[in-house]
Amino acid sequence: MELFLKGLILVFDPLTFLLMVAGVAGGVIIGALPGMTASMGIILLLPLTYKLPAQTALVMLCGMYCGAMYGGSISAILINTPGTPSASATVLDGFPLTQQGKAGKALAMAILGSFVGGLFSSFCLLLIAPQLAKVALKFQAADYFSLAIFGLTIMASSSGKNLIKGLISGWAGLLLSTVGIDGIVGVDRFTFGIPPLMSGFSLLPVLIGVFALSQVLVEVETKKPAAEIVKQELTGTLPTWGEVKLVSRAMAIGSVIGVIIGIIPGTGGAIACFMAYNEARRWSKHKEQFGKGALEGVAAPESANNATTGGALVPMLTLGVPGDVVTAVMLGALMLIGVRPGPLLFVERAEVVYTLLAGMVVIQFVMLFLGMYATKVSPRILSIPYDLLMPVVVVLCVVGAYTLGNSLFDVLVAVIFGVVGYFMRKYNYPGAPLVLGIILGPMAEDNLNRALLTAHNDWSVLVTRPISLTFLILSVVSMATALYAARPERAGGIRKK
Amino acid sequence: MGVSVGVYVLTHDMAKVPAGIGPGDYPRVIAAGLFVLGALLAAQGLVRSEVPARALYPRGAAGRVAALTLMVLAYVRILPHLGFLFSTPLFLVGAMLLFGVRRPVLILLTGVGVTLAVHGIFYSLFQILLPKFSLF
Repeated sequence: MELFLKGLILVFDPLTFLLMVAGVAGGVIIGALPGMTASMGIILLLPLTYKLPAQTALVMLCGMYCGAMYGGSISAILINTPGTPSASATVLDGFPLTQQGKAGKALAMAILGSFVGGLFSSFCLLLIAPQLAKVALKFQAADYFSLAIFGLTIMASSSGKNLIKGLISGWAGLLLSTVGIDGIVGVDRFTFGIPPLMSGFSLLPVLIGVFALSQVLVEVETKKPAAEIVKQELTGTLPTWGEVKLVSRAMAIGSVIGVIIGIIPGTGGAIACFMAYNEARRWSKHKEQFGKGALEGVAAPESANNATTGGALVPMLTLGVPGDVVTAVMLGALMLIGVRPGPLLFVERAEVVYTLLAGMVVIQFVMLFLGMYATKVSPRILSIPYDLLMPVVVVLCVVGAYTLGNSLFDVLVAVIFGVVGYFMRKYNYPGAPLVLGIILGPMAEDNLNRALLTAHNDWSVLVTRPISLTFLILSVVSMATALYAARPERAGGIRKK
Repeated sequence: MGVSVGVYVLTHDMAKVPAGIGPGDYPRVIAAGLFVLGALLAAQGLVRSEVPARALYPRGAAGRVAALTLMVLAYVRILPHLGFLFSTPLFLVGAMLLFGVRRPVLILLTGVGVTLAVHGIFYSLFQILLPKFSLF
């Protein structure tokens, strides 16, 4: 406790605090720009931190990390373009809220969810970091495969009105994830001699195409008169007590899922947000509102993706094992500023660790403050007439897809998926399962292969390992409840209401 | 269902492995799933009446969607030659005209202003390389 208080004092040192605020603000901007990810933000910030004391640099980098996680929701809600893959599930209910003139409310709910998730994960990091890291290290290939299968069952519940179309979309995503060089044998699959396809489809161009460019193509169909543009409510955007009570369960679910997923190496915010969305919907009293502008549908994924920040720092700080791309970049950054993560870090550099832990708590409050201000300012972008805004969105999409790997091929992928997404919208094929398939497909295939190789082709390894068995049972339960919810009588019942 | 058959054909000659799943096995399982789902959808289509294509597309929609798609593809094609600073205003002007904007001053100001703002943020502030004008 004494070390934590000392850390808190250091965080409120004027220079550290100012740079932390700058880090959070920069992170929010970077997250909101399509194509810019948290890892890119950290890399850009790194040269500025060389000369700073380790604690200050670390807090600034964490501010960037948390800010970018929240920032992705701004473009997801306002222009249907997830700024980062972690905001993929936020578009499902965030954009419908914008279409109803409630962009400010959706943004407020996103920042509230991010705040709760971030704060929860900060306390988890503070209180149970070493114990949680030990559990995470017990995960083996079979467990990862079962976790991916559990994640894939979300396809059923995110399928919308037509379960078969949702599943076709998801399985098409799984098939697309096989494009490129096979991870075990090294065979070319479905590349048709196109070299950039050897590494498969990058997630961000696919997201930009399916969610953003397809939306622009829908908008260009008809000239929209100015009067038809939805006027956004900019007053009363702060969540009411009733709304906070309504979303509290979704935020709790999102926070817990986010921390757990964050701790498991190789997962990340994109998986956590879909899982949280699915579970929040499963436990909600207003399931039918999901996909049409449910506040819970914004709060749950946003809590989850910000909760992954603290979770992902657990194995990185305690074991020196990065959980995802962002923490891998963070690990490199820490080493560059002279901090070597690992089991001895809490003993040898306790002052650095506890300043970071205190910083993570304070960062959430700074983010809440900046985010609440953003709810007033950012929806004004939607007062720009659509005929001016939509061409600008296309340029942002092109730059966003290009930025990821300085590759025009990625831009082409975004355009192709934009056209595919347009037809999917037209024929009621949901986009979320497609993205889920692309995210989880490689995780399922690679880990099934590894599990079978290490178990000498013994498939029982999937049910003899307790963690794997638990996820498989959860998958069956998840599938059964989704099918129960989608049965024709119930659908009819809802229609009658 | 056609895609599933195509996947089967394309993966037919892929290497078989003594342990684990081969590179062709996983896509084939997915293709089988897609085939079954496609068959179920076809059966569903026989029972339920689908919305006619004419109702899905407003008048002139196909032409406008195709025009914007071609415009974006042309923009991507000229980007490496003209560079971001020259090709983006051209695209923005064309796209705004397609979206129905008819005020020349507004079109020009938005085209140039947005290009400079995006270039400023990505290139100058975040030092991200954007395509530059090149004769070759």
